[in-house]
Amino acid sequence: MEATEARHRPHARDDVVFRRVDEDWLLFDPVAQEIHVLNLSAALTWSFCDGRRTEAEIAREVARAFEAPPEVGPDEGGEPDPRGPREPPPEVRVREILRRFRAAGLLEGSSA
Amino acid sequence: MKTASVVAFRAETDEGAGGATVRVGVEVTAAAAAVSVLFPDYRVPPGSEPPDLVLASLGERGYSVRSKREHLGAPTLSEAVGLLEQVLTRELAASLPGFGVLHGAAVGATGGAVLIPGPGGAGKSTLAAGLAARGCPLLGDDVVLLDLERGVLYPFKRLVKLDDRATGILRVPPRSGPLRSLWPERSLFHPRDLGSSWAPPSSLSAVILPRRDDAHSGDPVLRPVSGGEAVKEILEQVLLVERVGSEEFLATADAVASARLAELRFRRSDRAVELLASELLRQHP
Repeated sequence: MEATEARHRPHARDDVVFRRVDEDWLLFDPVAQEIHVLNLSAALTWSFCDGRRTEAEIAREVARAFEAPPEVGPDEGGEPDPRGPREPPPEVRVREILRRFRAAGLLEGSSA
Repeated sequence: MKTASVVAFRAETDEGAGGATVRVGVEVTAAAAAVSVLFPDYRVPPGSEPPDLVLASLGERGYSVRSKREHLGAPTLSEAVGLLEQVLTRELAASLPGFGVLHGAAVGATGGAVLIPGPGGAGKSTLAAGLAARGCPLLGDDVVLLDLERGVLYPFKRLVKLDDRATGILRVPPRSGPLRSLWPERSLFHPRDLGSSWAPPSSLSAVILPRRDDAHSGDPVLRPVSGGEAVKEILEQVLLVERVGSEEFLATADAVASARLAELRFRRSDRAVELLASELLRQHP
C-alpha cells in the first residue's frame, strides 16, 4: 500500500488558493469553504504537488529544502539522541501530510 | 399583505454611490416594534416597494420569516426576531458583493477601525460596549460590514445587546424597554446611551481576537498573533453568514496585512476593556 502511494503523483487542486500571510501559509478551499493553516513542511509539500513528482520525490525535495542530514537511528548503529526523540524522517512526514491533504479533499482525485 | 412597519437596512458603501438596501416588512405590531427598536437608525417610512423580508404571524403556529431564498418558522416572537436578524444579515451579505459580513464587533480608535471577530459568548459585545463607554465610536456589534477590497469597515447600526452580567461588569445600569419581555435579562444600548456615537467608515487598523478564559489568572494579556491566524478567524466568522470566494480570501489576507494583530486573553471583561482602551487610545489620548 505504502509502496503504491509512493508512486502516486499528487496533484494540488487548481481551485485551492495558496497564500502566505506573515509567517503562515494558508490554503483556502472554495468548495469546502475551509481554511487550512500549514506549517513549513506542509507548505513545501503542497508546493511540490504538481502532478509530476511522486511522493518519494516530493519527500526528497522537502528533505533537500530542510537540508536534512541522513537519518541514522539507534537501530542502525547510532547512539540514542540525548535530546529525546527526533522528528520523523521527511518521507514519513510528507506521507502523513499528503494523507491529510487527501483526507481534506485538497488533491485531484481525492474527496473529503 | 398588510405591513405594520417597513425597515430599510442600508450600507453606505461609498459617498454618493449608494449601497445595498434590504427592506423588511412586519405584519405583527409587536414584531414591528421589536425590529424598529432594535434598528432605530435604519427606520424609514413605509414605501410602495414590497419588502425583501417578511416577518409574519401564523397564529397558533408561531411566526414565519420569509425571504426570496428561504422560508423559516419560529415558535416564539423572540426567536422569530432573532431569526429575522440572521436572515437579514444573509440578505445584506448577498446584496453587497465584495463585502464580508461577519460575526464580530468593531469600534473606531486612534489610527482607524478595530475589528473584534468572534462567535457568540466570546465577549466581543462587552468589549465593544466598554470601549464605546471610553470614547471609541461604534462600528457594529454582532454584525460587522467589511469592504474587503479596500479594507474599510462600515457601521452596521444595530443596538448593542448586553446581558445583565455584562452591564454589571461594565457598571452600566440595565435598561428596561419594550424588548425586555422578548429578551429577559438583556438590555439594548444605542451608542449615545454609552456616551458614544456611530463611527464613520474607517480603515482597518487592528484585529483583536478575544479569548475569554475563566481559568486565566492575573491581568489580561495582549499578545501578537500571526496574520494567518487572524485571517482564519475573520473568515470563519464570515463563513457563518455567507460563502467566501477565492477573491474574498485573498482580499482579506491583504486587508489584515498592514493591521496590528493580537489576541486578548482575559477572565474579567472590565480589566480587558481597560487594557484595550489604554492600548487603542494611547497614541493620541
